[in-house]
Amino acid sequence: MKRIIAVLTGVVLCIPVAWAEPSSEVAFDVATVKLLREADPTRGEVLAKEGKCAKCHGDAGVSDDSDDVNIAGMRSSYLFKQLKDYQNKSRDDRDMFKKTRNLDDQQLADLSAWYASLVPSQSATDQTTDAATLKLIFHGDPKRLLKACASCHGWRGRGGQFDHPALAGQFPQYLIDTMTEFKEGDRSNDIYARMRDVAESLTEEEIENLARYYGAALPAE
Amino acid sequence: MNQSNATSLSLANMWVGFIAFIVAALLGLYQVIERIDLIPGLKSPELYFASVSTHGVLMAFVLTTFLVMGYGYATATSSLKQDLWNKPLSWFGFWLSVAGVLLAAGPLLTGNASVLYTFYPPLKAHPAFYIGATMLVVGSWLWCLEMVMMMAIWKKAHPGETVPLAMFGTTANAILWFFTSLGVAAEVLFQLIPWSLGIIETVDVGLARTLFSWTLHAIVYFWLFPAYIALYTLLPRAAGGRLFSDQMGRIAFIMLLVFSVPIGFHHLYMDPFQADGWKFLHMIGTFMVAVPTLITGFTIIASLEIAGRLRGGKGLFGWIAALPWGNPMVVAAILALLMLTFGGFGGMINASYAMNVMVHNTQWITGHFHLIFAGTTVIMYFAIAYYLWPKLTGRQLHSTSLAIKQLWLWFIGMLILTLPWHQLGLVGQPRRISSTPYDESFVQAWLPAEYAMIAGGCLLFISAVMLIYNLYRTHGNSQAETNLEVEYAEPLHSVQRMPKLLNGFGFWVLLVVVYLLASYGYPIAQFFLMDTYGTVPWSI
Amino acid sequence: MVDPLKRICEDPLERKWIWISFAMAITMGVVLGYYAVASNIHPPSNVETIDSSRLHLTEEFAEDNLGVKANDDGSLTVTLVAARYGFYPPRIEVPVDTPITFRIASADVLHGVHVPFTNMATMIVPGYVSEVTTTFPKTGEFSLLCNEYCGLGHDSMWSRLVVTPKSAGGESS
Repeated sequence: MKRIIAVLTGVVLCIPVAWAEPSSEVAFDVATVKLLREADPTRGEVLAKEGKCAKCHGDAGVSDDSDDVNIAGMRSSYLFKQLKDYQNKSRDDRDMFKKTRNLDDQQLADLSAWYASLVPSQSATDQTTDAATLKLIFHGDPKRLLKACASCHGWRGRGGQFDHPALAGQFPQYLIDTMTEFKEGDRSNDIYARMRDVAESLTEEEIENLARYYGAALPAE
Repeated sequence: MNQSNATSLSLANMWVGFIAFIVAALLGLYQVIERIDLIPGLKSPELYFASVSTHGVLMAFVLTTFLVMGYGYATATSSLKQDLWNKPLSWFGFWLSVAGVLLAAGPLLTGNASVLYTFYPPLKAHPAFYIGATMLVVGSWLWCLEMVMMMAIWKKAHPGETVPLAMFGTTANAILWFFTSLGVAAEVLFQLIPWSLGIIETVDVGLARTLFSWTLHAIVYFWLFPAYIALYTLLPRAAGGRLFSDQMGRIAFIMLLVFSVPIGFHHLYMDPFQADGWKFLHMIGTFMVAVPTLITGFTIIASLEIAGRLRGGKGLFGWIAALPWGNPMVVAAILALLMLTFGGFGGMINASYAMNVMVHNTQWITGHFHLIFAGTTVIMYFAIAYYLWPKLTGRQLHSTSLAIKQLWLWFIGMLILTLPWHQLGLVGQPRRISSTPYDESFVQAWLPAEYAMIAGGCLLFISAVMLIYNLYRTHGNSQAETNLEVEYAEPLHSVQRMPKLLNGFGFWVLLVVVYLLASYGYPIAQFFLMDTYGTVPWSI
Repeated sequence: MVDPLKRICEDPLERKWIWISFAMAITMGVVLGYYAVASNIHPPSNVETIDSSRLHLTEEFAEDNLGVKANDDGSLTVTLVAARYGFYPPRIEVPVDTPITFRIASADVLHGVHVPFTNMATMIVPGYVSEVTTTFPKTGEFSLLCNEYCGLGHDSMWSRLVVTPKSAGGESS
C-alpha cells in the first residue's frame, strides 16, 4: 500500500515537470565539452564490444545492412547527445534505451569518442542530382522558410559543431525514416524543433530525393 | 632624400604593404563576382569567407600598418634631417611584423582563420592567426618607439624650435596607435590566445568586443593620419602654393589624438552588454572627432585655393581649374576630399546613437568604410607612393600619366562600388553574406546594385594593377631622379614661437589617459564585477 | 566681444568655420540627446547575463516559452532564440501599432538581427540577453535577417515576421 501511494505521489509530482520538459537534457556547457574532450576511445571500443553495438552498427561503425544506421566518424558530441537522449527517453527507442540505461556519462562519452574516431561510411547508392533537390540542399526554399540543408549539415554533408549531424554516407532508408519521424512528431529531441519544422515543410518525395543524395558516397576530405 | 639612412627601410615597409594590397585586391574581385552566383561552380562559403577574412586582414592590418611605418620612417628622417635613432631595432620591428603576417597567412589561406578581420569570438581561429597578429602589432610598436625617440632627440638638439609639422603629425600618430592598440592587445593576449590554445575554457564575448571596440575606432585614424600628413605637408607645395595654417594642422592632429581613442562604443551601439549612458558619452566624443576633419577640410581647400590663385585662377571657382591636374598628389588629394565628403556624411549617420539601428551590419557599413578607407585614405597612400618612390629609388616615376589615370580609375571604381552598397544597406541587405538565399522580392530588388558592385570591383582591380606596375617599373627606370629632397610645404604665416602645447605631447598624453579611463574604465570593470558566462570555442 | 579662437587661429573665415563645425557637432549631440531623454529613443542596451550553453534548459528560453506572449499592459513580449542557423520560432505574428518587447538570446555564437524597413535591430551576444522594444506601424510580411557573421551558414539564417492588422482583441499569438 505504502509503495502504491509513493508511486502515485511520484507520478503526480512528475506531471508539471513532464509538461515543461525540454526536448533534450543535454547541453554543451563547459562540463560536457570537457567530458567529451577527455573521453577515451579505447575504453569506448571495449564498451562497444560489450554492448554488441556491431549488431546494428557494424564492426567499425559502418553496417552492410542498408536497414541499419551508420555512425562511424560522426562527431562525438552528436553521438553523446543521442545516447543521452535515448537514456533520458528524450528520444524514443526501446533497444537503444536498454543499451544505454546502465551506462554513466563517462562511458557514453567514451563510446562516442570511439565511434567518432572511426572512418566514416563510404557506401554508395543511387545519387539524384536533379536541379530542384540541389537547390534545396544548397539554396533552400525561401517561400517555405527552408534554409539550405548544407548551411547546418555542411557543404559536403559532414555536419557542424555539437549537434548538427553528418548526413553523407548515411543509409537513405534511415534518413527517410528519421525525417518522417520528425515530420510526424515521433522524434522530438531536436532542440527548438529545428528539424521538426524543416521536415513538416518538406514533401515525401523531396525527403526521398534528399535521402538518396546524402546516401550516396561523397568524397572523404 | 637628405638622409638616405631610412631609404631601404622605408621602401621595404611600403612594398610589403603594396604586395598585400594587390593580393587583397584580387580576392576582392573574386568576392564581388562570387556573391551573386554568376559562376555557380565558384559558389563556396568556405572559400568566400576565407577570402573575406584574408582580404580584410591584408587591407586593414597589413597594407595600412606597413604603409604607415614606411611613410613614417621617410618622414622622420627627411623632415627632421636626422638619422634614425636605432636602425637595427627598426629593421627588427619590420621583420617581426613580416613574420607575424606570414604566420597568420598560413591559417588564413587554408580556411583555418575564417573569422574575418574583426575576429569576434566565439568563432575560433587557429592560434597561429592570433599569434601572428600579435607579432605584427608588436613590430609596429617598435616603429612607434622610433618615432617618439626621434622627435625627442630632435627637440633636445633644437631647443625652443618648432617641430616640423610632418613629424608632429607622425609622432601624434605613433602615440595614437600605441594607445589604441592596447585594447586589441589585451583581448588577444589575455583572452584569445590562451582560449585558442585551450589554456582557458571560455571567453567572455562581451569583454572581448568591448576591448576590441577600444581599438576599432582609432585604428582608422592610425590609417588616416598619413593621408592628412601628406595633405598638410606635401600637397600645398606640390600644388604650387602654401599651407594655409600650420597651427590649425597641429590643432587638428591633437584633437584627433585626444578624441579618437576613447569613442569606440559607436561600434557597440547595438550590443546589449553596455548601458546606453556610456554609449551616449562615446557618441559625444565621436561628434567631437568630426571637428578636426572639418578643420582639415577647410585648411587644405584653402591651401589649394592659394595655389590655384597663385597659378592665375580667377573668380569664385576658377582657381580649381588652374591647379596642376597633371600632378598625382594634387589629383589624389582632390579626389580624396570628394570621397571624404560622402564617406564623412555616412560616418555621421553611423555615429548618431539610436539612428545607427537603421544601418548597423547592413551593406551601408561596407559601403561606408570602403568609401572612406579604401577611397579617401588609400588613394592618398597611392599619392604618397608616387611622390616618394622617385626620391627613395633615385629613379623617375615610370609614368606620371599612368599614375593620373590610375587615380581617376580608382575614384570612379570606388564610387561605383560603394554608393550602391549604401543603398543596399538602406533596403536591408545584411553584411558578410556569401550569397542571397532570401525572399525573391529582396533578391530581385538587390540585383542592379549587385551588378554595379561587380563593375566597380573590376575597375578597382585594374586600377590596382596599374599602381603596382607603375611602382615596379620605377625601380628599373633608366631616367634618374635628380631632386631627392622631400619638399615640405611652407606655411602662409611663419610662426615665431610655437606654443609648447602645440609642440609636444606630454599634456595631451595625460589627457588621453584620463579620457580613456573615464570612457572605458567602468565599462570594462563591469565584466569583473558581475557574474558573466563565457563561451567555449566554436568552429566556423 | 573677443573671439576666444583668435589666440590660435588668425584667419577670420577659418574661425567662423571652426565655430560652425563645433556648432554642427553640438547640435547633433543635443538633438540626439533630446530624443533620447524625451522620447526614450536609445540603442538596444540591456546588461543582463545568461548561460547561452544551457539556454533550452532555462525558464525564459525554454522551448515552450518562446514566441509571442501578452503582457498585462496590452503590450507583447516576443521571446526568440538565435542559433545556427535560424531564429526560433521561425514564424512570428504580431499586431500592428502595439508595443512589442523582443527578448532574444543566442544559443551559440555572435549573431545580429535586423528587420528591413523597420527599426527592430540588435546584436545577439552569447552570455547576454538582448532586449528591444518597438512598435511596427505598417502591416505586412517582414523578415528577420541575421546580419553578423556567425559561420558558414550565415547567409541562410533568417526567419519570418508577419505584422497583422489589429483584431478586436488587440493581440494574436
